[in-house]
Formats: sequence, structure tokens, C-alpha cells
Amino acid sequence: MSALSYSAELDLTHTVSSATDHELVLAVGQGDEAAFQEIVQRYRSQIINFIYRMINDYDRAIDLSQETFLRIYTSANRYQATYSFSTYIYRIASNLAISELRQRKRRRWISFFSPFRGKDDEQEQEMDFPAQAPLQDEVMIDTERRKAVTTAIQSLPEKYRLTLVMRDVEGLSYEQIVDITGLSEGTVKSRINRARNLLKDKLQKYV
Amino acid sequence: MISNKELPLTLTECRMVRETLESADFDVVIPIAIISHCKKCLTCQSYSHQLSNLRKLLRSQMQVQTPIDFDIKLRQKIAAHKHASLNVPWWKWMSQPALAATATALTIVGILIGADYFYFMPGAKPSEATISTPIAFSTPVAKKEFNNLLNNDEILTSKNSDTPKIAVPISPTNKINNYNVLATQRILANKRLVKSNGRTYLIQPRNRPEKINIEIHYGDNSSSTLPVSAIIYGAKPVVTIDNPDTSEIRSSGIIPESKIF
Repeated sequence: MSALSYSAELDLTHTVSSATDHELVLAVGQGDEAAFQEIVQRYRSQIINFIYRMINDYDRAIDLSQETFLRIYTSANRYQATYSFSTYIYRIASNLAISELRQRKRRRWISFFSPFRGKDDEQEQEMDFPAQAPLQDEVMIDTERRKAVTTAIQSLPEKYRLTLVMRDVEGLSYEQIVDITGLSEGTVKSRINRARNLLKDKLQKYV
Repeated sequence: MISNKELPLTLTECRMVRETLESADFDVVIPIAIISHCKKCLTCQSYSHQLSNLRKLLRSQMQVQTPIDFDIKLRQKIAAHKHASLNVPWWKWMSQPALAATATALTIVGILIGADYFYFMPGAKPSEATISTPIAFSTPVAKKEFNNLLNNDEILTSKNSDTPKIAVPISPTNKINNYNVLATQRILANKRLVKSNGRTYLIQPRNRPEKINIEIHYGDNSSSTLPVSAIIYGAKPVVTIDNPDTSEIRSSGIIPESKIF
């Protein structure tokens, strides 16, 4: 009996791991917890990264990522496969991230608890490059460069940041970005190009 | 010196090369035509380098680590959401002012409509009933006229706007010897009105009732004129209907809350 159930479990695991996103969401809609777990496994890293790049607050990014998956879970029975599932989940995540940014703008709320933020990052709009003296330690150089890139991304206006992060950080296609944002392809390309030009100016030292 | 003929072509080519570079995927192989153009055009070459470096820089951003307890906390949130959706407290909607205001307004409107419906129920005519004492009908004709008066639920209008009106609402609770009157009667009277203590009364001599004519409009657009004496004794009105063919019909205390205006 136990051997049989173990075999059935293996079969189920194999089925879930080889299922498409669409099949998984349909299974979640029917109450399949294993399918939901598989979706979380597939997308959690991407979604956490995406939201973190957008809002630059690690704790809040984790919360919003969990909120994204919670919405997937609660609305799985209403999911319609008009677009790919990745588009669907990125749309939810981007809406949450934008909502968070707007709330912050309204409340002028500043996160003091993000482990990835340093004292230098508190002035979001101003770049604070490392000192001109050459750094000996490669790790330190790398850290400074990443910090500069993060700050430069955060200094971008929200609409440019969203498209740039999707395209150049997450590596989404233009078609996906068009579907997620609901913008025209021309607008998406224009915003990405504008964001790149802004970043080039801010990161001259590194490009 | 670039001729005018060559200039647009060169700019067009550079623009096409840049657009191709901008929209190319990160790990895609750049076409040879683009590479050969960049070798010749220093501006495009510089642009290509800068773009490539920027994209590499952005792609090299460190991936944020997923916390170990991510799944556990997600499970807890899902469980909390399920619990919350099953046990929504009844006062939860009060936290939303717009919803609370709408619900309150709807409740008030509902109460008003309900009260109006039951108080002035248009279709609820009383069934045939026998009105006995204290109303004494000397003839069947007088009884029929009185029933017509009570049963008529149409709003009676006067052809003469200057004519004062006497409205006699008969409430559902106003019982006349087990006779539930649900209709509203409005009687038009050609009499003078006075106001006293917030009420308007028809002036009538106590001992010599003055006869007046009222015009009753029925639902089928027919009408009839009845001689009526309305006598008010203090706060308790007494409606007296005089029929020329019969003796006086008097009902005392039938309509305790008469409104006269």
C-alpha cells in the first residue's frame, strides 16, 4: 500500500513538473496545492527580483511577491488563457509595484529597513558615485558598481523604470511588455530607449 | 564633404542600424550587415558599444535571494485569507464610509417606500364589509354612498384651485368594527379653514351643522356630489355625512387623525 502511494506521488510530481503554466493554473483553480507550489517554484525568483528592482525595498518586495502569488491562488478559477501565464503574473506584480510606488509618493514614505539600502541611497534622485581614488578590492568595485546601477535605476521616472527593468533586467520580449503594460509597441520602445539614454548619462563611468 | 544626395541615405542607414541594435534581444547574434556598418561608422560603433555595455551592466545585477521562509509565509497568508473570507465580521462594511453611507441611504429610502406603500396602498381596497354601529345607516343608499367614500382611493381633485381641501387619511390600523380600511380618502370641501395648535380645522357651528357639497372622483373618472357636514369637536373630528334622502349619518371617532389642509 505504501509502495503504491509512493509511486502515485512520484507520478504526480512528474506530472506537475512537466505541466505547462496554463495547465498548472487550471489545476490550481480546481484546488490542486501541488500545482500551486510548482507555480511558486517557477516564478518566485523572477517576481521577487522584478519587484525589488522596481521598489528597491527587499522586505516590501517579498511581501508584494507573496501578495502576487496570493492573487494568483485566489483568482485561479477566473484565469483565462488570453495571454501567457508569465504575462499574467508580471502584470499583477507590476500593478502591485506601481501601486506601492504611488503610495510612497503620496505618503512620502521611506523605507529604513531595506538591507540592500545604504546611507548613500537615501537621496534617490541624485547619483552618488564612489570616490575617484582607485579601489583595490574587486569585490568593493563590484559592490559600488551594483549600488550605482541600482541607484540609477531608482532615479528613473516610474514609467521608464517599469519598461527598462522588464526589458534589460528581466529580459522580457517587447511583445510581453506590450501585453503586460497595455501600451503600444512604439511607446514601449520609446520609453526603453529614453530610459537607456538617461542611464547612459548617469552611468557614464561604467559604460 | 557629403553631398546632399548621400546625406539622407547615410542617416537613414544609421537610424536603421540603431533601431536594430536597440530592439535586439540581449543574447542574439548581431547581423553581419550591422557589424560591417559599425566598422565604417564611428558614431554607430560608439553607440553600439555603449548600448552593449549598459545592457551587460544591467543584466549583471545581482539576483535577490529568496528568503528561506518564503513558502511558509505564503502558506500562512493563504490560510489567513481563507479564514478571513469565511469569517467576515458583520461590522466590516462599516470601515468603508462610502458603502456605509450607501447602505444607510438605501435603508432609509426602503423604509420610506415601505411605509408609503402600506399606508397609502393603492390597490388594497377593503372588501365588502358591514359597517354597523356607531354608524347608523337609515337607508341602503346612504350606506352605499359611505362605502364609496371609504373605498375610493383616488386622489380627489378640485376643478377650482382655490377650493380648500380636506384630506382624511385612514390608516391601516384604523379599525371600524373589524373593518380594515387601507385606502386614503380625500374630501374636497368648499369651506373656510382656520389653523389652531398646528392643525387646520373646518369652521362649523356645533349645534347647526352647515351643509357642504363635496365632489368625489372615482377611479373610472366618474364623479358624484355628496352633501357633507364636517364637524370638528376639539381635537377629535367627527365626520358627518348628510344624505338628503336619509337622516343624519354620524360616525364619531372613526377618523381620529384627520388632517385638514
